[in-house]
Amino acid sequence: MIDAALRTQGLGKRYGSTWALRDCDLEIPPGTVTALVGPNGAGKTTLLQIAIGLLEPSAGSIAVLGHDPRAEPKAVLPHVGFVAQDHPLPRRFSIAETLRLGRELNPHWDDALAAKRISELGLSLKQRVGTLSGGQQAQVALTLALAKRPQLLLLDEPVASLDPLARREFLNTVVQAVAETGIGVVLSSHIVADLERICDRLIILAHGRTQLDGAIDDILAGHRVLTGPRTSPERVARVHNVIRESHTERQTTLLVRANGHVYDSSWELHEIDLEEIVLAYLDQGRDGTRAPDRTRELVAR
Amino acid sequence: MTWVGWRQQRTETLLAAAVLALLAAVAIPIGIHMASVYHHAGLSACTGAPQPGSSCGVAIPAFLLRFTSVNILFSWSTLLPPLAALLLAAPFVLDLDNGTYRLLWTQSITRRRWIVTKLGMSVAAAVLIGLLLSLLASWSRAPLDHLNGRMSASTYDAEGIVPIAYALFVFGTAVVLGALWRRTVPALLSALLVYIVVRAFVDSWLRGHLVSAITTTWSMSGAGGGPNLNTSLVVSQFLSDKQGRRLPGAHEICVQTATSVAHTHTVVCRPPSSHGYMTAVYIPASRFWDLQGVEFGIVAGIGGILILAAGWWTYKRIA
Repeated sequence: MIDAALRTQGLGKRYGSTWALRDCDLEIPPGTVTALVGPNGAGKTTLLQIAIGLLEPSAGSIAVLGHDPRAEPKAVLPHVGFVAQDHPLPRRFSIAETLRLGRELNPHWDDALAAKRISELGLSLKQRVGTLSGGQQAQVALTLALAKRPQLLLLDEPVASLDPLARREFLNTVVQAVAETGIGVVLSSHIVADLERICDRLIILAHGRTQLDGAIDDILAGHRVLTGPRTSPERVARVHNVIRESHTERQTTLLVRANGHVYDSSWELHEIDLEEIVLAYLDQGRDGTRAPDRTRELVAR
Repeated sequence: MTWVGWRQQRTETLLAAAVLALLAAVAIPIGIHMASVYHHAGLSACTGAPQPGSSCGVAIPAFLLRFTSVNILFSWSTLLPPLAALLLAAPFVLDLDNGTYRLLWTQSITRRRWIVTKLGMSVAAAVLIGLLLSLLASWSRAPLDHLNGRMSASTYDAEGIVPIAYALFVFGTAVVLGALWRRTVPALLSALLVYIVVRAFVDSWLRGHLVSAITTTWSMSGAGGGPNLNTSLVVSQFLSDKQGRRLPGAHEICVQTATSVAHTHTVVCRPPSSHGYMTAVYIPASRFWDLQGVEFGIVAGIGGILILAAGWWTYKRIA
């Protein structure tokens, strides 16, 4: 049994002088559903494409199911399902031919599973892929990835181009596959809604760097909003990581990643939902600083 | 992968085969008809330059005049092998254009295998269709070739092995541009343009310098004239002195890559002075296969390098 479905160390990818991904250290346990969240251009697609071997990293190393995807493609490709952004499929193929493509190109292909999924989707094998809606094409692409019988499924912005109904159906399929087979999933998205329902881990990427990495339950438990009379956050920042601070004339509101309990009775504590936490991190990442740096800066003031 | 590769290029291959079938449908009846006229007129006995007044001297121009339109029609067939190759380059570029390569490279086969299979199958189809087109052209044009030779551009580019070389060249250009550009229509159109420019350059200049040419000087006052230039590739022809030195002020005349005989007769050369000599630099019809071999080596070699470059670029640089 491998100890990590995906592990990166100092992973980086540079295009010319700009880093699309930099100093990325991650460890994703097998069998978990991990969301990779970040704004456009954060490096999500780059990370996933490196993981499936489409891209070669410029720095650092990556192991997918224990192997380097570029050096040992035959040890990685048969066990990893991948659905690229915009889920490209040969438009001239019928669905039957698309499934045959999967059968021809994959050693562990599960024909029964593929056929079952297609009929569940209400599609006919004779239909041409080019005539399907975006949601149906995404589902066919997902079918191709699942019938490969992978141990790990990588989905790059799978629902970004789908309408809400298609999005829900797509994610339900993923949830169902996870429940049935215990497959690990890494899915990137810039839409935070839905993630809480299907994912158990969250990684926030912004500006090519990891901003936050952890189990969603821990993240939710660890973040609190503090409101109190207007003050400098200095005292709080000594103990907790202040992610965001905002002030009105009389009041100060802080979003903190709490290290243990907040004992100070001058602060009122509130819970916060995942979307707000993510937004706070993305907001913070915008000026290019990382959480610890920001904290230090506040302490020094 | 073989099935997938075939399925992806099936439409293009059938389309190219349809072009071949269409040409066959036109060329075979014409070829049969032309051959029967040729035999009935007893032209198989006439070779080389016709002597004025002989029966051949009348029958040859009559035959060529009768089939002028056929000759023009056939000269277009030189475009077919490159067009078929262009068509067959499309599936490779389409995968890069549509992003479907991301799907194919993330199945369980390596991208190396995908590149080798796709390029290999399309190249094989392009070579096969080029070969069949060349054989068809050679067979159906045989009577015309017998009289005109095979050295004019409109014939030379359609027969022998050179059509295959140009098919490879166009294919290579299209896949290289396609790999760099990843847009199908602009890549294919640019490859066609490159082919037209290259062929114009080769037809008009380069071909005359690929193998050693013969230089002959003859007196224009004497009977019989010079060598049979009708069936040769004329590099240059000019008025000269007896030693073959170009006369000062004499323009280069009758400069043509020997087209049909009918055409040759209409070329207005400088009025022959009775004391004048004519010098011609030309490649005789007997060197057809030498020339084809050298040209094939160069053009197909470049085509092969372009195909390898496209494969390498796709392997290394595309993600």
